[in-house]
Amino acid sequence: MRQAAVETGVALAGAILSVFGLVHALGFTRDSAYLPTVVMGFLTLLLVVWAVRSALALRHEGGESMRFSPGHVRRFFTLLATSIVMIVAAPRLGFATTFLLFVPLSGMLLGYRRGKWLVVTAIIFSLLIYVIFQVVLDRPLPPEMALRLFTGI
Amino acid sequence: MWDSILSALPLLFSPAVLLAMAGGTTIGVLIGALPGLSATMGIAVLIPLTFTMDPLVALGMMAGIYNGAMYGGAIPAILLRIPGTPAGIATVFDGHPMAKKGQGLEAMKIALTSSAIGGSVSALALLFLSPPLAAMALKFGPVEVFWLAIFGLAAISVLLSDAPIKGLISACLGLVIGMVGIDSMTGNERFTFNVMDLMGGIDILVLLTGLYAIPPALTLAQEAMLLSRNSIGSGGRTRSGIGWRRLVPTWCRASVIGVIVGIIPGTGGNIAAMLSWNEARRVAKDKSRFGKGAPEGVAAAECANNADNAASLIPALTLGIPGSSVSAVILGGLLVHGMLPGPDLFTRSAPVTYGFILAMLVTSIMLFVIGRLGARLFINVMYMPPLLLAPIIIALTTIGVYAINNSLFDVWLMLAFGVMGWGMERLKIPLAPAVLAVILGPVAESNLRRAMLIGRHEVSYLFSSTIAIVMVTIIVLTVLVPVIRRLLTHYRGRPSKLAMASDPERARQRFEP
Repeated sequence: MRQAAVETGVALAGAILSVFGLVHALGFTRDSAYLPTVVMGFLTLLLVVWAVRSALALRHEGGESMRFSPGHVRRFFTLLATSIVMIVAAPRLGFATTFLLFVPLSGMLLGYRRGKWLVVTAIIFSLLIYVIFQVVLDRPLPPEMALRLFTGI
Repeated sequence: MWDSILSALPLLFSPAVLLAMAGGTTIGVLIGALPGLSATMGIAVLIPLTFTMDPLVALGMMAGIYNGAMYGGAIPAILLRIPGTPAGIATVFDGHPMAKKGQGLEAMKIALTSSAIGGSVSALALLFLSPPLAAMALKFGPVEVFWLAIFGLAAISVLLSDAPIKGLISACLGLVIGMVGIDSMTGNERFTFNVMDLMGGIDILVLLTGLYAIPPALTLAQEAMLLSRNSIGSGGRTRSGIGWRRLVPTWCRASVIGVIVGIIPGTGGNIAAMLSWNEARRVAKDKSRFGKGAPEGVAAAECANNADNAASLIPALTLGIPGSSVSAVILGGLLVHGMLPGPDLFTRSAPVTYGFILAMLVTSIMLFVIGRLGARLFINVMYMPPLLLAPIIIALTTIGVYAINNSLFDVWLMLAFGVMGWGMERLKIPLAPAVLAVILGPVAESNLRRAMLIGRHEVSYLFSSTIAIVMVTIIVLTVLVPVIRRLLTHYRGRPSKLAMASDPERARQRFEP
């Protein structure tokens, strides 16, 4: 896909959002509205200029293109999806326990095939996280399910 | 000043701080050696972890990471022709040809020594230039501080990108993010959309971690670059003998260039290294050696990019104006530990501030020792599989951000900023102006309001002092830089050195053999 086409789309979408932001900022009280109004107005203007320039660049042949191979796209969304699942699970299972599952699972889904290293890395990393955050820094984090399973506490 | 330095020394040489500096330097070299990861990312990931630490322990670690990563970037630049950090681009020109000739280990030794020298000179510049500049900042009133903040924003927005419009869009985005929450002067809500978690504003750490730690992780996973042992090699064993004395003039020139470039907001290690490499080539008797494995080329590039390090903190520490993304992140680290940049840093928090400045010096020296002892380990780190590294970075940032306020909302916000940052990088929109705007926006707004109150809402009051007029002139000139650049390119038929320095790809195409 051509870079200019993506930029035109992003700039136009951004400009529309920015106009909404400008209207929202105009609703603030006088002293609080001054800077937001100026900034949102300027941002809208910049985005419109960017959109016009990108659209003009579309008329010329050649130019830069954005290439994403299917593998790139798959790995990007895989990591994003597993990260979202990890964030949802962490408060329920505990961070170290979640990482014990998240690191090898993500690595495997992304295409890393050395099973032994996946497991060893996940165990060492989770242990380090537990020691640093719970023992050394003493941060109040959610209870660890793995610890409950192994120790019954 | 000397009293403050003396009072900082016992703190600096306490076991915890020494350990933090050594650990930070080692981590920094490892981060720099991994292509795709940078000092900014390393410090951004680390800040949440240092939240509960003693300020000097945390700052010592940051100093180590900063100096270490800048050298670490030279390792893949020399051995693989892939700069580990953007500042390593000029190291490729002569470092990799040296490796191809079997002089990889020698090139690494030159890079290490040059980095240590550049870093030390830079730290001394920070030590001696900061206090007078901070004293000068005491004369600044709300008008001058307002224009200073605008200058910082304009410089980084315009100079950092080839397309200034994108830099300005990034700055505006940052200003909007900085305005989210309750207005501290009027108590009114701005851009909160009745979301309770947004009332207190967006934590700078959440933004920093999201923008600087998540995009490299996503890119690592996406590109899944795997290196084989054959592609790296051992660095070669040919020993032609390094003429160290021959490199002294190069180090002197490179250190001066690095320090000057570092002080100018909106520039960075890559520009310092490019200019220094170019200067070394210009003064050389035999210019044809450059680009084919000249030791001076490696020394010039590495010395300058490390000489930029501490110098780039001068405007950040004294005036509160970070000139680069990494100094913005370090500024975030200072804020987390309750240290407000500006003259107060050199009076109220003097022991910790001087301790941090000395830590920049000590870690530069430590870098030399650690680099020599751990050379083989640092080469081996390049085998680290990115597909495993990417989820680890995400996990580390997640728990780090959660631990700041025990807020899951912050974690979601960080992920959202991360995806936004990844998109911005793809669209070549620089991230640094957004981060700077979040820091400088509130400074500019509060001082503008104060100035308007003092000036009874007369706009002319903003131009009432000589310093203000000088600053406005500098801002106008800074904004005109892209126009001047374009005109120069048009008349010369080729891009200027500065334009090439800020665009590594263009520089590589022109200079690489």
